[in-house]
Amino acid sequence: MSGLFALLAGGAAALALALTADAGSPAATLALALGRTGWLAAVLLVASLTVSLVARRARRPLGLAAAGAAALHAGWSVAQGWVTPAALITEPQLRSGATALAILLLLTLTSWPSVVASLRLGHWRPLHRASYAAAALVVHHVALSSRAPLWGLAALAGAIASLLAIRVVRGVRRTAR
Amino acid sequence: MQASPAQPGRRARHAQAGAVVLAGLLWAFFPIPTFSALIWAYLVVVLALGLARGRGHRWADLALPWPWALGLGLVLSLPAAVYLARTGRRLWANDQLEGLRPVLQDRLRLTRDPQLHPPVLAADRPQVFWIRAAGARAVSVELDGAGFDASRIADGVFRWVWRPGDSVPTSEEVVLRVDGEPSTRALTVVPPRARPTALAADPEGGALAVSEETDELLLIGSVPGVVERITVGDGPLRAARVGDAVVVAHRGEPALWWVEREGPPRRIAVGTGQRDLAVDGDTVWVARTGTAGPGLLALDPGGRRWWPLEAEPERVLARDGQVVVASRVARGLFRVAPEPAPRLALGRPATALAWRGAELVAAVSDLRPEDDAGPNHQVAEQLVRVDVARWRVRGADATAGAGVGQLAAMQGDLLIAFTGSGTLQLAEGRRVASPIPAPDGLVAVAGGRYVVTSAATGQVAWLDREGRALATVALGGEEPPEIELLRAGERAFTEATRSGTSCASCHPGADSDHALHDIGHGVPRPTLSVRGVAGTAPFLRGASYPDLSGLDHFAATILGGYDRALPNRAAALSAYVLSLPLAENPRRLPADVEDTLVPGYRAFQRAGCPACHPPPAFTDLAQIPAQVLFPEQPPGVLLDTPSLLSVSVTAPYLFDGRAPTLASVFEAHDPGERHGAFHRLEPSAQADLLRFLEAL
Repeated sequence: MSGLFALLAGGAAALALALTADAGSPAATLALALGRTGWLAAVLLVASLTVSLVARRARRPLGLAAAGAAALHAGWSVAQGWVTPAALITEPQLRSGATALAILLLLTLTSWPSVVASLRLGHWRPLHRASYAAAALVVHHVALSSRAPLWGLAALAGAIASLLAIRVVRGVRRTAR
Repeated sequence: MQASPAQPGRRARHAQAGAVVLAGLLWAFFPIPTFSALIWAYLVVVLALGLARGRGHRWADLALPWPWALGLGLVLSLPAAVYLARTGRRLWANDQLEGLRPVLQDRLRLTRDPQLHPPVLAADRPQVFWIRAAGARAVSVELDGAGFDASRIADGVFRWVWRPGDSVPTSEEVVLRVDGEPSTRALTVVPPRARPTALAADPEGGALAVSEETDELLLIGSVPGVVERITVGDGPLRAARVGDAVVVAHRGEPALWWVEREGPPRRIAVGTGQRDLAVDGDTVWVARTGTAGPGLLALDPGGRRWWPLEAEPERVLARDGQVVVASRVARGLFRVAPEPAPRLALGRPATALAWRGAELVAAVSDLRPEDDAGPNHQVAEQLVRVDVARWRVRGADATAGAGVGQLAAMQGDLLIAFTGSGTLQLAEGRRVASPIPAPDGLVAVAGGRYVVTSAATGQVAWLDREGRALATVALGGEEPPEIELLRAGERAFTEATRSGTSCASCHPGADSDHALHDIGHGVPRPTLSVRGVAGTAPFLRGASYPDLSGLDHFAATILGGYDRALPNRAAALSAYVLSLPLAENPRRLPADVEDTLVPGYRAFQRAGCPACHPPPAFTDLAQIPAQVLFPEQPPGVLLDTPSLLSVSVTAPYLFDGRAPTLASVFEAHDPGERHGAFHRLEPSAQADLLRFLEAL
């Protein structure tokens, strides 16, 4: 239940940010709403990856909240006519975003042991390493977004590169032991 | 398979490495190379292995003795390695990583505060720069050690008017002093280069031309190699002989110059905004534009007369009491005398005009009297014969070359300089290759010779009766490499592809032809001006080109490519386009314009325009779905936010040209108030906003 709550909380927070966006004109307001929901999802994902280095128990709710916010972000962009299904394949920025969302949703599914058991899915933990791939795709998605602030892009890329570096160093040390 | 005696953690890592290898193998069979596809392949492999493992298939552990694992891993990695090597460049391009740098560079430049725009200074003409300096009370600008005050338009928004002085700036940097604090910003200075234009036969036997950037009148002798260069006012546009004198119209000077053999030139005030001149007997006709509206001024011994025109004039031709004006924005002709007549629609601007016998001949890239869009990148260049007395198109003939640069008549024959194909049509239909590239001027001079000029290369050449080259003069002499690059770029811009189309076909003078073109998808789009695009990547209405080199690729493939190899063509073309100043806006420079800018910017802010069109570039370089502004549009069509600088001279407006005027953008084409809050402004503020946009 707590997992479902985190998922819905992420989506609800994103929805609140989208609904309260007002930039003076419909075009700018939509852009602001999409930007806010996207950044919420990205920040929650980074928080989840950061927390997983120190306190694994908090990782799951943050990751699920990130997935919820990302799903709302994607749904909002489709509902507002920003995105077409074809563009999810043809447009690099949307392709990255859609792939990252697919990873997050897959991780969401495997967050419930009952789902894992009913699917008879063994060996699912490697899937969770794909969260770093999702993070890299988010950087690509943001880099190609014409409205994302560049300082935000730099901070996001820096944070994810640092987390990945820490993870790799830890892995190498563990292997050496 | 036999499991290796590894520890659980190590075994998991081995399985992970195996999954990566298998994902790479799967990825190597994806038809379109993208990084996302690699990740999808990884997900598929991991899920498949997980499901197999969950169903008890031990092979899904990928547990092999290490020599086997290593060997098999290397072999299975080979297809992915080959795929990567073969598609590396495409992979980079497909994920838009190739074009990311120029786009991010321009965004980063505009993010910096303070900042000015445009980032290019064409040193031959006055220019307006907008400066954003958040929270600043005063901004001054230093260039080459000289200081200039910028005018305050609103909080943090300033405007600096640069006017050419005696020397050309050499610095590539400008210092913005914000409340005394200096910040250095890059500014590309484009020095003036000699470009002979407006070639005309001189009744005294030679030819007349001007060089607008270097402020020169060129008296070209009929004797090969003789060019007399006389400095005149700012931005000479055309010269014509009146008796013993030569009269010169100027772009940047409020006077005509009367240049005589002896003594200093006389100046006759006619006001700014001159566009062209023609002489018919004693009468000098001056086409003008400006805040008072477009019109035609006639000066003769009896005084002055003024004819208002419906559209901005570009050329005026006068002969035997007949006066015709060509307008690029109206894509047609207007008859002023003997009787004024309404617009004669051509559908595309006349790029060259000449009288021949009783008719006027106009070169048009694709005659479309109904003003329709036409097929994708259609260029069917024609010489349109106009019966001036009856004011109708008599007929049209195909041309024998590409890219008509100039027409001139000679005893019933048409002399044609084909800029695009680099060929000349001389008397009696004789066709020869031009001795100089990109010829855009051709006239007959005394002695049965011809004079050819090329603005792109800055050359003048003389030919004999048979078309054999006699002499060539390069007006620029030995030039530095950066000028040579710009000349190569201008030449590439005008050079026709095998389809007959060049960049200049739809962008005459590197500007817009103000026509609609179907550039794919069956949707007519108005042509964009390519002037003033530096610092505004990505380009085109859909932001489909992150840098300009892609346009050369388009010409080299879709348009059939070029007959002639030009080294560094893409770089030269890109450098040339990025060096162009903004399209000239006659409402931008008058001294009293700043009175309208302050209330205008206030209305601009109140209407919410800066949300997408923020200063200093008046674009956020971002894209927006067309459906957001125009609900009837299909989803997924992205529109690049255009800069509003020079917007008043880029009609028609909006992505499909549906708005003929700036006012109609809001009044007729924004019923849902999606394009800013114009409708919520009171009428006086609406008028202020429109005046502001016109003065940008």
